[in-house]
Order: sequence, then C-alpha cells, then structure tokens
Amino acid sequence: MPTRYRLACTVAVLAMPFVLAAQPAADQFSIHGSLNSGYGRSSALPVIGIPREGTADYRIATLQFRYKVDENDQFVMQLLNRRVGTSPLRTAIGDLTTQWAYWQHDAGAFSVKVGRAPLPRGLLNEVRYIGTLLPFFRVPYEFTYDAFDAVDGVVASYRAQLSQDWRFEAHSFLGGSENRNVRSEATGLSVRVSRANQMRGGQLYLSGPFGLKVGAFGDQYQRIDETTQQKGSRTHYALSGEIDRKYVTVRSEMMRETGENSKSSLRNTYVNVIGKLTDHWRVALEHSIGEQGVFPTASPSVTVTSVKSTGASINYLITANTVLKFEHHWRRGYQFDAFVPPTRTQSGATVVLPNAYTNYFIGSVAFSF
Amino acid sequence: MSFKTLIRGIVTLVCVLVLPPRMAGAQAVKIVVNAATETGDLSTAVLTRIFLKQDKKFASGAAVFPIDQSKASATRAAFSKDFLGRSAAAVDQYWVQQIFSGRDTPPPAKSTDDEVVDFVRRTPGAIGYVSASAEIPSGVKTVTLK
Repeated sequence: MPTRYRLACTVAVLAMPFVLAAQPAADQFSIHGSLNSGYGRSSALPVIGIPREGTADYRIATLQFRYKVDENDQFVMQLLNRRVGTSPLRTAIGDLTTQWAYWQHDAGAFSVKVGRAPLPRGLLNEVRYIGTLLPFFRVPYEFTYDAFDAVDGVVASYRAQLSQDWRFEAHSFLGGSENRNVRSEATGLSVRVSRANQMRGGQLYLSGPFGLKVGAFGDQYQRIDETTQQKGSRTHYALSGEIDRKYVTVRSEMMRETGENSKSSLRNTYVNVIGKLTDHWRVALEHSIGEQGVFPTASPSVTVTSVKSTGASINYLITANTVLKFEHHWRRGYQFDAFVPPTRTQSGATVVLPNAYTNYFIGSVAFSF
Repeated sequence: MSFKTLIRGIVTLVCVLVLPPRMAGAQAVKIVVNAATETGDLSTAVLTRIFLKQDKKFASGAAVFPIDQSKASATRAAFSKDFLGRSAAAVDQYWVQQIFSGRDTPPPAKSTDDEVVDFVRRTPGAIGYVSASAEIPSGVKTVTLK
C-alpha cells in the first residue's frame, strides 16, 4: 500500500481509542450477525467447493460490531468466517478474517469511511455474504469471484434526493484490495492470490420510481501476484440495473476486466428474476455467462465461454431474517475445481474443446439479526 | 334515518372504498413529534424517507430523530404498511441490507406507545408513531400529513 494510504489508515486507527473513551456506552453499541450454511452435492465435476461426494463444510458467517460515537461518527468491525468445501481456494482463505474495520464520519449528504471498508461495486457486492438478502446461496460467482469484497483505504460518498422519486448516490474510493481466484488456463488450474494496489475508482447509483435502480462502476489498480510477483495494471467497469416491485424483482449486471495485455480479459454477465409469491415463498431463476481470455502457447490468445450457468431456487422465509433455500444449478464450461482443458493446439492452430457439464444442488439456511 | 344522515353515510362509504389503502389505514396510527419541532409541510413521501433514514433533516433544516416501535408491535405493522408502503418484513429486509452494506442501522425501537411519546417529548427533533387511541400529552403534538 502506498505511504499516503497507509498513513491515513494509521491515523484513523490511532485516533480511535481517544475518541471512543470520551463517550458514554449507553445503547450506542450494536451487534449484528448472519449465517449462511448449506449442504451441496455435484453430479460429476467438483465446482465452487462442492464435490461429487457432497459437503456440509459450506458456510459463511459474519459478526458485526458497531459503536456510534455520536450522531456523525461510528466505528464498525465485521468478522467473517468462511468454509468453502473442497474448493482449491480453501488454502487461501482464512477461517476467520476481518472483513471490515472502519471509522465512518457523516457530514450531511457526505460521508467518509476510513480503514477496511465495504467496496461499493454493483448491486450486491457489500452484502454478498448475507444469505437472507440473496435468492441463492451466493451472488453469481462469475460476477464477484473471491475478490474485492472490501477496500483498504478511503471511501467517500455523497447522496442526494433529486426529486420525490429520484435519488442519486456517488461513491469514490482509494486504496487497495485482495483477489483470490481459481483460474482455468490453457494447461491447468491456478490459484491466484494477489494484491490490488493504488486502486482508485467509483460507483454511481440512480434510483427512481417503480423500484428502478441503475448503477455504473469503474476502477483501475496495480496488481501484484503474491506467488510470482508479476505486476500489471488492471481495469474494471460494470453496469447494473434492477427493478424491484411488490411481486417480482429483476436484476442484471455485467462486468468487464481488462489487463496489462490483450490476453488478460474477462467478461461476465448475469440475470436474476425473483418471484415473490407470498410473504413466505419466493422462487428465483438465474443465468450467468462468463468469458475469459486463455493463454495457449500458440498466439494469439483465445477468448472462450468459460461458464454458462443456469440456476433455479425456492426460498421459504420463516421470517424476514430466517430463510430456507433449495437451489439447483446446471453448469457448462471450463471453470470447475478440477482441470478441464479449454483449448488444444492442433496442427499449429488453437482449437476450442467441447464444454464440460455438471450440475449441483445446495440446500441451505440463512439467518441474520 | 334522515336524508342528511343517509347522504353522509354514503359519502363516508364511498370515501372508504375509493381511498387508497395507505390513506384508509392511516387512521390506525398517529404521527407524533416534539412540540417544539417545525415540521413544515410533511408529506407521506418525506415521512417514508425519514423513517428509512434517507432524510436526516426536516424541511426547516432541523435534525430529525425517528423512533420506531418493536418488531412485534401491531402499530408498527400498520405503520409500515400504511405509511412506508411495504410490509413489516420488507422493512426488516431493507434494514438488513443497510446494516450489512455498512450504510446505517435502523432507528431505535420502543416497546409501547407511552415509551414513544416519552422519548418524543424529551427529544427535540424526534418523530414517532403511536396507535390512534394513545393519549398525547403536552410537549408532544400530532402531525397531519399533506
């Protein structure tokens, strides 16, 4: 992390005890938490940590502590416990980590978060681990990967009510983040753990009548692979749209990543349709598509459809804070937890191989308070 | 039954039938504020934004402090449906979203009408809601929405 960001975080952390000590405890302290725990089983290939043998070692839990120093200042810490089944990422994910630790200052329509703060990116990034808010166990993996769930640095926000129906939000951020990824390449799977440094970007939202919400995101960062020390510059942009009505919610997002060379490229899109049948029953459909540039020994690079995934789920809301889910997914492509070669070289030409296919289900319970 | 009484009854019935549910149900709940508060022209839309903590000031510029009722309260269910335009469960989900996206936490909640009224009386800028039958003491006033 560059010196100026490190300095800002250090000042915030060092100042905290003095600020907190000056305040009465009262009911300014709150604790919130969530649990998303499931059992999953795949029909053939292991996928997103779910093997053919099945696993119940599949869980996301959060515990959030919030202390309101006064009306304008608060300190928030959120701990994260994750178990990812048999995913190759399990070696790269700590059992218990600090997802957030930030100080927030509000000044009218403006607010600033300093420390390790939620990263505003798309519609669901900040709540990606909260099962009671999601129609499936997770946000489509191809959209979030195991990356960019927080930003170490500063997030500045501005909110404005434009009219009775229209509302605007703008967020900008500076700092760094983490990226843990299982990536399918030409000759094998690679688990990549990298730091995003000098990350800078922003997210805009516009909310309107009929539950309409649209958003646009963009950022740029310097990437350093922790294993190979390879460096490069990456850019993301994403577009989001949602219509949330009483009986149905339709949501779609697309994301594009470009890298330090023309061979590193990702494009991901998903669509969610959620039917709210009653106060207790919901059904959802989801379709996502991922494309990525692969790195064959022969040039040029080839962009292949790495994933096409379709899912269906049924949710039973015991209460708004306790939800039972059963979901089934049909998945075709190359991104599995076992290597599926996407291409081969044949007579000097790169040939895209037929897609592999598997399906899997997850039964889960989500709880939050 | 006199002609006037009949007409009054018919007009009342028509009003009940044609008014949107939010207006009809609004009779079950009274909105209360601290007596010193200048609320200006408070509309249902503004009230909704105040209780969702999207507006943090009255039109006068004074800070606003919404106070909720406990989740089990029938008054809260009526208020959510009639004024916020969504079920109490949907409001709960809204707050889960706000909490876990790091944005905000819900307003503090009180268990009874008396506790709400007491909080509002003691807190300049406070705004709450109570059942239609609740006694409104001095230091607290009810608000009629535009």
